[in-house]
Amino acid sequence: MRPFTGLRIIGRSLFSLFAETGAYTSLLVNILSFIKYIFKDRHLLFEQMYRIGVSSLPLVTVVSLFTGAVSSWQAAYQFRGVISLDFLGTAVSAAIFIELSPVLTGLVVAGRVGASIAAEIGTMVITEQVDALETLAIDPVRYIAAPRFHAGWIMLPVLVIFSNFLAHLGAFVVAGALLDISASTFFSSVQKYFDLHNVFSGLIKAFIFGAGTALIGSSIGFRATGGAKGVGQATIKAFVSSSAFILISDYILAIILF
Amino acid sequence: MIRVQNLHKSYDFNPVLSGVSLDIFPDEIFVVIGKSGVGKSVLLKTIIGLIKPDRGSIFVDNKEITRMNRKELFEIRKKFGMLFQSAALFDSMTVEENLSLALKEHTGLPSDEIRKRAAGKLELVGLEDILDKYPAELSGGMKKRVGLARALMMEPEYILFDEPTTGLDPVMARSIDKLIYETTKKARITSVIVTHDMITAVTIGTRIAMLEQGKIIFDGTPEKFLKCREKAVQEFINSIKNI
Repeated sequence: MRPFTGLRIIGRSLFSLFAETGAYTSLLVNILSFIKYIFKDRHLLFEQMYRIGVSSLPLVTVVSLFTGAVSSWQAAYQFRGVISLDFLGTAVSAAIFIELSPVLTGLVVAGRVGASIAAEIGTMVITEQVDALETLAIDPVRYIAAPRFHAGWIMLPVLVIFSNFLAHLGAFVVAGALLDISASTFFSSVQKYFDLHNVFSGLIKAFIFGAGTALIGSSIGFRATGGAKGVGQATIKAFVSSSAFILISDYILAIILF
Repeated sequence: MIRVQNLHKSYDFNPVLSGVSLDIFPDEIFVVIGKSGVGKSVLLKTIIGLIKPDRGSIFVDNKEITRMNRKELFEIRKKFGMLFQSAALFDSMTVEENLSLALKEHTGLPSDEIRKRAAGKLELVGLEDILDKYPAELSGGMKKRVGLARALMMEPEYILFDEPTTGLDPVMARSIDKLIYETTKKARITSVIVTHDMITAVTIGTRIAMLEQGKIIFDGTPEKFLKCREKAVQEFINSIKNI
């Protein structure tokens, strides 16, 4: 083994982390410098909002319904003999608003949209379409990355609101059909300890996750090299990096917000 | 006029361009030839500012583009059109959207006027009734023609061609040569073509430069090129004679 191998690995990892962070920050600054074009480019923004938001609805629906259902069942299992099931709605609702909906919807969007943004932009780089935009005197960051970034932070909170509703529905169906809890008991339990702070905290998380996923996907896509293999690697890297970003920033936001 | 002065570019310490100097005059069809991987495309992309050189200067109409910020560079690029090796059409857009994009971005022309111009440019390159098609529905030759039509949309002063005949059958390649010659001559456009296709170079070029090991080893008319005794030039000329 070569001397200082461990130090070398740590050094290389730190360098790579700083380089990645630098690339994301630089792209973010660049995107924000084009904020004045948001109205002019609204057709591009709407197209991406549809792609990120509306097209994700079927997957978010399935994930949310079953997340609510399983959280209801698991909470009931943990309450058994300790806490009355009358409080099931309170516990499940808080978990959905604070953690389950924003994080799981974020991960679904990271898998579906973040990776596809990286693949799409990576393909455009490899096939010289990004260079072609440049030669037409159109900035690729303004035309490609900015609409995706804005659509990301706008649509993820919308998806989370939708997910909140469906997850509650899933939890209620399990509570009513399998745990013998009446609708009035379940919803009065949800209402009794309802805290708007939980809802807004979840939406703040969604805003950050949406912006981060689109930013990471775009940045990795723009740096794709090496043909089809490079695009494949960019896609995987975008999914892994977006997922890691969501989980790490969720922890940091939990400390800040609660 | 485009002036390239002492251009240097390296990748991972491997020099690609090592002091390239060129003058490209108005209305010329200037052809840069050389083997694959010799740096022809790098030279072309440096001229339009897609690649930053390590050293050296490029002047377009006496303005040094190598020192320009992005805003100034984008202004200069409006004078240029570029046809890429792969045509680089935007695959999520129709042919009409590909052609209209630059005009929609940079001019206040009404949509019907832009559509009319797009149809006109397509007719100029010998294509009709494909405005609503997507690039995936077109053949290689058609893509190159659409790429040329897109390059012509802004009525540029300069067009850069990156390997315009690569990947085409010989008949289509000659048809593209003819098209480049006719359209650029008619509109008095200065053209820079990088290619390793000798037939393109000697049939439509008004001046030929040969790039070898990062340097220009020949710069002159096609007639002088064919008579040149330089070993690398002779190898190129013999490549057609041996067919």
